[in-house]
Amino acid sequence: MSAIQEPLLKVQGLGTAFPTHDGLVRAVADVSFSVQPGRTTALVGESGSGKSVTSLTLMGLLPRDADARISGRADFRCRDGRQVDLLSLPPKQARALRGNEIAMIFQEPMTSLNPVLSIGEQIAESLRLHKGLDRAAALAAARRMLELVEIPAAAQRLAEYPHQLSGGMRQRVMIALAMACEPRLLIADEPTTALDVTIQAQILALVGRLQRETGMSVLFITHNLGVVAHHADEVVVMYAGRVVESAPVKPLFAAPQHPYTQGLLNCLPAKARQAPGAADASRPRRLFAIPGQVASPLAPPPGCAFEPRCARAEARCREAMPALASLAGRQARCIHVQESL
Amino acid sequence: MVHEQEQQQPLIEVRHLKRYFGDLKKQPVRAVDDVSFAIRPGETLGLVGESGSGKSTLGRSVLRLIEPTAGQVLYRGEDIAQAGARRMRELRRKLQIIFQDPYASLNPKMRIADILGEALDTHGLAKGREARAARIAELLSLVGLRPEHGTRYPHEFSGGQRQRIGVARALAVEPEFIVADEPLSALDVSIQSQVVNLLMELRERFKLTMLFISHDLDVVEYLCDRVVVLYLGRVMEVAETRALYEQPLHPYTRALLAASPQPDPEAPHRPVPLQGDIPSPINPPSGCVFRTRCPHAEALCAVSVPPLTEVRPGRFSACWRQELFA
Repeated sequence: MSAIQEPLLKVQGLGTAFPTHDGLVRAVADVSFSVQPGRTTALVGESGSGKSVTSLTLMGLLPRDADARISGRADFRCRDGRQVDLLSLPPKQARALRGNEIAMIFQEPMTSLNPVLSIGEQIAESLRLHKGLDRAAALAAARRMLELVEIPAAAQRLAEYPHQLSGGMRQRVMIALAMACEPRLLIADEPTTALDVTIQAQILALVGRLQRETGMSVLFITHNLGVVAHHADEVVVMYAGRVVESAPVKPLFAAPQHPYTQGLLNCLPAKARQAPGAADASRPRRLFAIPGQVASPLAPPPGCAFEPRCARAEARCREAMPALASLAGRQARCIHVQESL
Repeated sequence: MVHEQEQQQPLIEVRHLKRYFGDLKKQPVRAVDDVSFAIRPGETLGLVGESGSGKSTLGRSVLRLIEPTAGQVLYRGEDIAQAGARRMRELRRKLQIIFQDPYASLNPKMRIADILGEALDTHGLAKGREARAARIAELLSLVGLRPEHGTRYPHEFSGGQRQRIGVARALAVEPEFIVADEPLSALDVSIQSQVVNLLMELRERFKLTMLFISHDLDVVEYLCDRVVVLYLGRVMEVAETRALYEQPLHPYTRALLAASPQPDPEAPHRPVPLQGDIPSPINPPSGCVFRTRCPHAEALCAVSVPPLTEVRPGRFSACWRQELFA
C-alpha cells in the first residue's frame, strides 16, 4: 500500500568519496533507498558501513575541508510540493530546508547542543530564523516544545544550560529543537546509543508518538537490531559503504537474504538463545561469529566487499561487485541471491 | 547470606563493601553502598545495572584498584583490603582486569610485545630472552593473533584486535580471577560475538572465575552463571541466570528486562517500563533507592531500606513488596 504513495525522499546512486594522502576513499557508493511519508526507514550497519556519511551527505553537513566528492541524487518533496535534489541544492536553499523541513538529532546530545546558550534560546533561535517569530513569541513556542517532549517544569528548564541536564533530558531537548519547525523528515543518527536501556525506551516512545501526531517521516540510523525490529518499517542494511540488502522489517528478520545480514542476526546472543536445542545445553555453546573484519576502504577487495568474511564465497565473488538485485519489494547484493530469485 | 547452600569455599567474597567519594562528613557520593556477594571457583558472575549504578566502581574496588571505604573483599578467605604492598603485588598476579575501552587501555607508545612483556617482567615470569619471547608468541596465538603482531603498536589494530590484546595482557600472569569491565561495549556486533567466543574458550581452558560487568542483558544471559543487579550502589536482586531471566523478582530487574529491545519484529510491543532518570547518588532517596521510579512503591518503601532476603532457595531480592512478584 505504501508503495503506491510517492516517497518523501528518494535517494538514487548516492556516492561520497574523500581524497586522502593515500588515495581516494569511497566511503559510500551506489546507495539507493527511499523514505515514505509518515514511515520510518532504518539504515543499519556497523562502524565504517557508511551510514553516518550517508546521512551527513543528505543534510549537507560534511565539513567543507573534507573536499567530499558527491555523486547521485536525493529527491525530496517540500511542503509546497516542489521536488528538490538535496545533493545539488545551492547553499542558501539548503539552509532554508535544514532545521526546517529536514531536522536531525545526533548520538551525543552533549556535544550537539551549544554549552553557552540556554535551552530556551537554542530552540528559539531556530524558530526566529525559519518562522520569523520575535523573541518573546519564539521563547513561548520553545516552552511549548519542551512540554511536547515531556520535560517536567518546562518554564524553569528554558533558562537552564545543557550541562544541568541528564543525558536523557538532553536528548529530549535535541528532539524539541528538531521538532520546533515541524519537519517533514527527521534524521536520527544513533539517537539512543549513549543512553541506558530504560531511557532509550522513553526516547524511542517519544519519537514514535511525535511521528504519529505530526505524520513526519523518520530516517533512523542505528547499529542496534533490537531497536530496528520495533521501530522501523523499512530496513536498509549497509556494509563497507554499500547497500547489501533492503526489505520491509518483518520479511528482513524472518528471512534475511544476504549472508552478511544472516550473519549479523545470527551472532546476536538473543537469537542464539532462540535456536532449537539451545535451552537444554547447561552451558551456552559458541556464538555464531562472522570471521575477520571490514576491509580497509583504501584497499577494498576486487569483487564483493563481504567476500573475505563470507562462508559462501567462491571464485566468482572475487570477480566483480554484484549488482543490487530486486524481487518482491526487497533487494540484495549477492550472486547467490540473484540465482535463487 | 550466600554461604549456606555452597559446599565449596567461594573464591571471592565481598562483604558489606562501601565506596564513597568526596567528604565523608558532608554529603559523599555513595557509589557503592553496602554490597555483599560471593563468587564460586569457576563461576562467571554477571553485574548489571544502568550507568551510575556503581558497576565499575564495584569492579575496581574488588581488585583494590580503588580503595574501599568500608567492608571486606576476601580472596580465598584472605581480606585483600588489609594486604600490605608486597602481599598485594603477589595477589595481583591472581586477580586481573580487562577494561572497557581498548583504545584507552593500551599504551600507544609501546609495542604489543612490550605491553605483554611488562606484565611478565613485573611478576618475574618467563625469565630469559627466549622464554619471554616464546611466552609472548604463545599469548598472542591464544587470543587469535599472530606472533609477528608483537612488533606493532596499538594504533595498527582494530577495536576487536585491541580487545584481544587486552585479554592477552590479563592472561599473561595466569590469573585465577578476572574482572571484565564492559569488555564488549566498544565493539561492533559481528566483532562482539568473536570476543564472546574467545572469553568462553579461555574461561573453560584456564578454569577462570569471572566478574562480568555489562549493561547488555543479552550477553550477560549468554555468558554468566549468576547475576547481581545493581541500582544506585545497592544490590536489588541476585539469582541464577536462567531463573532471573525467566522470572525476575525485583521490580527494577523486571523493568530492565522489559526495556531491552528484542531483535524480533513479531515480539509484542512492551510499554515503556520506567519513567524519569536514575537519581543522584549524592542524595539518594530514603528507604528503597528505587522507590522514586518504582510503579509499586508505597509509604513503607520511603521509610527504611529493604534488606536483601532469600525469597526462594538461591534467589535474593531487596523489595518491601516482594509478595507481588514471588
